[in-house]
Amino acid sequence: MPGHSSHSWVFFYQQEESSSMNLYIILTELKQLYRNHWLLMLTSLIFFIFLYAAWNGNTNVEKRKESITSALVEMNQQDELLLERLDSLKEGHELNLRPWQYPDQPTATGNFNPRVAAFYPSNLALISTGQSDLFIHYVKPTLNDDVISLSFAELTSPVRLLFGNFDISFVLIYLLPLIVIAFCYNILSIEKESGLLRLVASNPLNVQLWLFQKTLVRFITVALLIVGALCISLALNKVDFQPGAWKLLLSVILYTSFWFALSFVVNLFGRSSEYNAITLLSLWMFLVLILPSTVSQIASELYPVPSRVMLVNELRKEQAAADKEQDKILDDYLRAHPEMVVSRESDESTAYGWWQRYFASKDLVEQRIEPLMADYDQKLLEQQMLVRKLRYLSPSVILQDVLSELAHTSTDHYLAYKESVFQFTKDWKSFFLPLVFAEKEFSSDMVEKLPQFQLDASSLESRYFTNMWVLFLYPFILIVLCLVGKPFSIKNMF
Amino acid sequence: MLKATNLTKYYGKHLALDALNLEVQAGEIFCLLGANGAGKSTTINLFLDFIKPSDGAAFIGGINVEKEPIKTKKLITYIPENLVLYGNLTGVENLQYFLSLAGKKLKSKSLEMFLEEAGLQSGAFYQRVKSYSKGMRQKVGIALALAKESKVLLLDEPTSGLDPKASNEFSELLIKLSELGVTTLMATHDLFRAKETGDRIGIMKSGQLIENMSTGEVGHTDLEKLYLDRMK
Repeated sequence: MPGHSSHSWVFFYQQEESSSMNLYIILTELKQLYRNHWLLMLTSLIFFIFLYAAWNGNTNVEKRKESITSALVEMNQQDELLLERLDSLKEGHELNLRPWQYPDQPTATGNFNPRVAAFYPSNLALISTGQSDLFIHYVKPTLNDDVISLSFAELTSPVRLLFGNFDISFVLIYLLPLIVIAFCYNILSIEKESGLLRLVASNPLNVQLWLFQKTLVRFITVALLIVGALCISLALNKVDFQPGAWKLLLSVILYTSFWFALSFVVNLFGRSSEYNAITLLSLWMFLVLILPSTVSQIASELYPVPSRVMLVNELRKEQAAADKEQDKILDDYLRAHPEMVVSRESDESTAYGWWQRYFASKDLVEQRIEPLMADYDQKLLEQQMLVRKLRYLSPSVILQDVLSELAHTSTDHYLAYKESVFQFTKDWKSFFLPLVFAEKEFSSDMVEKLPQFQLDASSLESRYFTNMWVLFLYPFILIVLCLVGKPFSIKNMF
Repeated sequence: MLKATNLTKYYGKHLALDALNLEVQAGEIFCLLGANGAGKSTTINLFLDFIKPSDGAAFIGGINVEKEPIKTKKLITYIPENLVLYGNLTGVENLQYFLSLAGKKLKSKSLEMFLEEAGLQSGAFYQRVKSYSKGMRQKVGIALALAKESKVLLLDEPTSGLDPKASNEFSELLIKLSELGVTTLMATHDLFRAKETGDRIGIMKSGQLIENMSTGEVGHTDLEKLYLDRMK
């Protein structure tokens, strides 16, 4: 059929045309960017802010490492002193200490020679230090500690503390979209305002596709600059490029593509440069600032966390009540913990002393305020769950979730650390309390058997791939909506 | 080659083009004269498919512009009043870029030849266009028409702001293209240039074509008198 073959030929010819045209448009766009001083400024800006942010983040990480190291050094010195004193006592020497400070007293060692329960920074910790510098990164649980969970009361809101330091996550979440907006807000409007678009549109081409190619070139340029700046920043700070760093690069590329897609869509409406700039800045403000803080606000309103002051007051109140009924408490405690009861001669039946009463009352206080603590933790957990669900509303929150997961500074990592510390505190007490109740001495051979802290992160579930999918879907959906909705028409442009 | 049948355009309630019927033969230069707002640019925009007609249709080479814009755009080159090119690209690069938009690719030698044919000095071929005068840019537009082998030139006041020499050179190029069979529709305010260059002249007023004559029918003075009379 002649008509059919002619039609096929035209189709083929058009395909040939469009593929060669694409390449030339891309090359010319690159050439124009290269010749434009703006690109040089952009390159300098991107490298400067990334290098500075990485240095800044690394400074925080180093401080964290230093404080842990110094706590460990102090612990080791205390252990050496402990062993010296225990040996000295064994040899029958007197120590220049008060009786309750003698290291053979389990209460003394349990309180004065605590282990360091440290939350070490990860390989990528420098990329997102927003929360980690506010949170405790090591504790030294002792036998006397009231309620160790009170040490973790900084954890108030997962989103409120999202952005604080000028680190890489701040640059990526806050500044990167602004760079993309500045680079692309007028990609079509400038052509329209200069009159070039009339000349372009008088040619047999799909202007929407032409604009997409121009945006794509800019996206590739900015993505390469960012990836380059990130790699150099990480390398200079001696970060190991294990899978975490590659995951980071992928997430950044997807996040950048979202802002490019958004700029592309806004341009397609064919409005003026000023209109595009204001629209994109409004969207930035909404997605990066307003939405995360609203999510945080909603979480706090729906699941209000009891006040920390109330917790402390409750603790004191219970402690005061316990002090008044020490003997009864001790009796109750021993009934509940028969393993602690020591067989005594009848004349020694009242020999349980101050420490036994003290620990029994402490246990009681902890039991009594446990529902309050559980409520506190439950509310926090509910806040977490809500924020976790609502994070899909904003690519910025998703990226923050990804970055803090990769940096091991996420709330989940912090909660895992907190749980590990709780467990360790229990282990520590369980080691010493039987000695206290049995009125046994602490000896040098027990030093090696002291419980050691181990961070248990086995319960952590990665959300990386889900987050990546959603970050991918955002630009994809925007582009598909464009193709379906066809906001652009050359007939609206002139 | 160019045909408008009952071509009408409303902007809201304002009638910009009132049932225009026009036919321009292949190789003919048709000059549209008229005051600002007479409908000249609207006519050009309708042939370019930049705006949607309220009624009627425009045809290029017998193809309906609105229905098959990609096909009709393959036949045309458009040169606006102020031809803007990419300032950071050279004349040759601009020419290649706009040719590539039309689906063509030529070697540098050929591009230089077309620029030379359009009257651009060879020293300017590889200069960045931001240093070009308006006349030089218009010549790149003509070179584009030559390189694209366009059948139709749509010109919207192309000589406005050009000095007399550049304007004259431009007219000569149009005549040369006309001899090659290129059809030209030119909107202009320049009566003298229209008389010198055009084969036919149309006078527009309030969206209507009120005069359609051959340039041979009137002298320069008569044309000016006729135009002023019609504008009253």
